[in-house]
Amino acid sequence: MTAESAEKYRDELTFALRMRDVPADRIGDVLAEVDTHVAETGEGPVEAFGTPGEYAARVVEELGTAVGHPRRAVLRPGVLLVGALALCGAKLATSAVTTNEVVLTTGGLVGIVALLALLVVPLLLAMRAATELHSTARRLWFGLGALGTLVLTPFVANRIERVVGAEPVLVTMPRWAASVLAAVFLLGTVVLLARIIRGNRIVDPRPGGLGSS
Amino acid sequence: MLYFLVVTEKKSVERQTQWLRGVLDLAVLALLAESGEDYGYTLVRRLDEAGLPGMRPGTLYPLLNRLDSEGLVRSEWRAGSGGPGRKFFQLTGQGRAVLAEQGPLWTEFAENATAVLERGMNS
Repeated sequence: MTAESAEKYRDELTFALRMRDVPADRIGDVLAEVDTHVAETGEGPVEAFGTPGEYAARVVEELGTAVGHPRRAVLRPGVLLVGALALCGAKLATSAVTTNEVVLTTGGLVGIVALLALLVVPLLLAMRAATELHSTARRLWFGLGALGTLVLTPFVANRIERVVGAEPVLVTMPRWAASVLAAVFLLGTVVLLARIIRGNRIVDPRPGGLGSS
Repeated sequence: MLYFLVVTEKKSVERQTQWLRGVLDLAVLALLAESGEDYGYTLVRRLDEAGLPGMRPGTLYPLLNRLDSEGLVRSEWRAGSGGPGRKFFQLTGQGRAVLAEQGPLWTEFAENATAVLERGMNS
């Protein structure tokens, strides 16, 4: 076993555990156990633990039902809030650049909510593809489904926005106000994202171990 | 002929691994009761030496962590001397109580199963 293949196994196992929404502290523990066992015995990680996907599924099985479903990695309130802030910020910023007066209509608001809700579908399908262990055909179909729905999502959200219509107008604001609001939303996205990343940092639990990915 | 023997041996180990799954948590608690504390790799070796072969680390480590989260064992990472750090497991009072309660039930179950098999084999 080469250091490169051990590193590859580690990366793939981290990804497989992340996809199953395993808490960061547990991931750190699992990676340290694999590293330690492989270093001590000289066994290959696949030989000892199975493929990264199989081992991640086994870890989740023993952790119980509280974790482990790909859906939970996407449908967390924090993740959805980041998505909502990013979409609203981007929409306001785009409008502020192209028009003098930014108008928020019912259709516009429904369109943003629809876009956010619809984006969950390709994300779930992509995670399902990434966590499919047994069938390459199913993995391919889930992957194609994710790509297809991702492409269709903006069109469908736009269609919903048009159907709801431009009336009534909810808010009208000058360009500068829209720019400030867009900046607040985008800053909020960055801050929240940084907090989520920091809270999910994987740390090596071994004495003297370093923080990793 | 050699191929047949290898396949038979492999199937026999697979069968024993299946049986072991039913009693693995109790076997691990029993080994820890015996030794005081141990870490994953030596538990795999001790199971093998005790005539319970075929246990892969990929099955044992998640089970040890489940026992840990259920409070039946406690774990601690310690620095290794010149090698990698090791995660040691110790039996807790709760683990000892579960072993004392469930151990006799398994023994009775295994004896019943053995009696059924022996009656069948001798008839």
